[in-house]
Amino acid sequence: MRFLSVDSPLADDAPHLQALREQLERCDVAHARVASIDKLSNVLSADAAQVILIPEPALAHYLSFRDSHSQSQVFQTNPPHVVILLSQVSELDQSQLPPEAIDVWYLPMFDVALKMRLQSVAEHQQLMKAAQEQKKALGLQQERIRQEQKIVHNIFTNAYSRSLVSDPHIQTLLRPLSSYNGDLFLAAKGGTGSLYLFLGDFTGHGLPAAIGTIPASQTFFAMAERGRPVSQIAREVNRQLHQLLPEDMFCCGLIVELSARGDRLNWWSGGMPPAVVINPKGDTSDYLQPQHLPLGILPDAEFESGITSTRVPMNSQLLMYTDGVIELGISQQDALGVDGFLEQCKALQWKMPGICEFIEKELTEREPHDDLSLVMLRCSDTGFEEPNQDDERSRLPFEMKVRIGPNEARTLDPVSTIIRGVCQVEGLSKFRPSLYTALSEAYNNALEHGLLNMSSAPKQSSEGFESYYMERSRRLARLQRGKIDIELSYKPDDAVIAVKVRDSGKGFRFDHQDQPMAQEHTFGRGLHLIRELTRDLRWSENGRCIEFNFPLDKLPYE
Amino acid sequence: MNLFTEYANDGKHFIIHVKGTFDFSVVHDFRQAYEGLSEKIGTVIVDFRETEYIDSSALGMLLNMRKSLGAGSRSIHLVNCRPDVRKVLDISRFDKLFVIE
Repeated sequence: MRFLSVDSPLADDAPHLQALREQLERCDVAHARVASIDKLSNVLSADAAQVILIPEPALAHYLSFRDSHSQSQVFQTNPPHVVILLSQVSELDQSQLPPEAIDVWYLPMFDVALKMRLQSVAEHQQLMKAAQEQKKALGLQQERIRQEQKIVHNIFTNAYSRSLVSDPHIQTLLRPLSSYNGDLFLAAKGGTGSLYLFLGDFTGHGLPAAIGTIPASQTFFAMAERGRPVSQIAREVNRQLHQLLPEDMFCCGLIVELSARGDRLNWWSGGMPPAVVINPKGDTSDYLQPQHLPLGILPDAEFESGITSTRVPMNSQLLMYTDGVIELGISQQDALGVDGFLEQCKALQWKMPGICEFIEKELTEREPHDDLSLVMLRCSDTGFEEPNQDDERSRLPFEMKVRIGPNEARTLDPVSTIIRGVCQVEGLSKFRPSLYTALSEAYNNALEHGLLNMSSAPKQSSEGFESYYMERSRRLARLQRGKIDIELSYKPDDAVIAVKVRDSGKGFRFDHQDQPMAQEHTFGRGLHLIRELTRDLRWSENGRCIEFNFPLDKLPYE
Repeated sequence: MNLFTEYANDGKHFIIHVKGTFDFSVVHDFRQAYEGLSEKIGTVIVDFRETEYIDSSALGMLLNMRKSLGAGSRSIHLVNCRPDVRKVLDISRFDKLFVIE
């Protein structure tokens, strides 16, 4: 620490200043004399701690000096401290003192008094230094936290980015208490055209509560997109959260699947306040009462995955909400409650903009204490198209011949293998299920009647049906001879796959094939399927050979 | 196992899921699934959401189930059919015997 002792413009001050300098000398304190305030700029250094001793008559000059040097490196990075020196009794207006002033000394001073003042200046200096270092460390720490928050925010955003937030069936009001939401709302399109929703509420709020939402959301999306049943989604999310969350944390959750036609809700609820079904007339027609413990509490073996299936009139609405909504005002001992909330919603004719406005108003009037989520689902046709695989059909014709002997028939699944191969060709995969059905019927007919000599008659009774298939596997196991030839010919110009299935059996009489099928008879249904799914069906070689063209110009169900 | 079952609506609904190929390979499991079903179950649902392929043997199994459960006394719903599966059910006019959703 270095003292800079500035001369006074008043000659009367000189002896006092001279005496002070000598005292400093005696006390072994580093100091330098500065002839005037203006000369300070030559001696002030940004590198060292400095205390300027300024006689009161020079104070005004110093104030203008510091104003003009406020942007200098010294004043920006290591501003000096100031001690005002008074040598005559005069009024010192505190408002005149610069913020860096730390003391006022009356001259002359006894040595002992000066020593004490020097000590206190040194202590002050040290405190300031420590405070500055802490401030710097705190700044770095804050910057790190900001960076981490940014990353975490990104992860949350990405984790939910698959959610169908803008689906016209859904309106939401999602109000987290802090920047992380312990409530979770997700929507996904299911494989069979249904719409999946997940409204969850993790214990607590803020980041600890939000962390569990990430694995839960990934599981939900993966399973919903594959069209998995609600019960299995609930089970899997529970298993994961049970494994992951600490004992005292869990997730209240409502998982809902709206059917493609919009007339059925399959749902599982654990610990969520009852969602409400509102029929098109505006009356509450059903409550989705929670039937299970929240997710993440029970081990898999004890978990109850039982869902409820609820039919809803077309254009009903489903109102789902977390307990943040009904507990609004709980800290004022005046919670809104389920009844209070639903009454308000009904008065607002279940219209979401009005309900949102009401909740926002409640939020400003009463202090929220939890995350809050509100979701309104319109139950109508989801309008999700099947994934469109309208890629161009390959223009390269090909043929495929497969010969199936007893061994292949016993150990392989020839139809699946053939279909898998054929449908790798560009533009054919969308025909896979129907082509499978047609070829499977022809192949099984050839195998069962041609090679295994089975009669379809027993299939007409329930008991016979199963024993027919037992007999089939018995005969197949013993089969020694015979073969089935399958020929597929892809003809892009005719937009067909020509199919020929020939067996080496005795052939059969097929004079009844054109009779209308009896409704409840299982016999002949396979042939009927082939006829409806294909064109140009013909038999030859006394019933040993069946041929048909599988059309590729449009899908069978179009 | 390509078949799994579950109860819903407090045990009043019974749901059978068939995964992948619905054909004679599940004939035994399918019958066992609904055999000895409790009287209090009023609705049986066959969920086709994970069914990729279906053939006439599956149609036979469905008809047997209907017969076994007392045709008409319980409602049997065939739900979440993909269009190809739906087409097969339509060809055989199953909409007259089952509730197809």
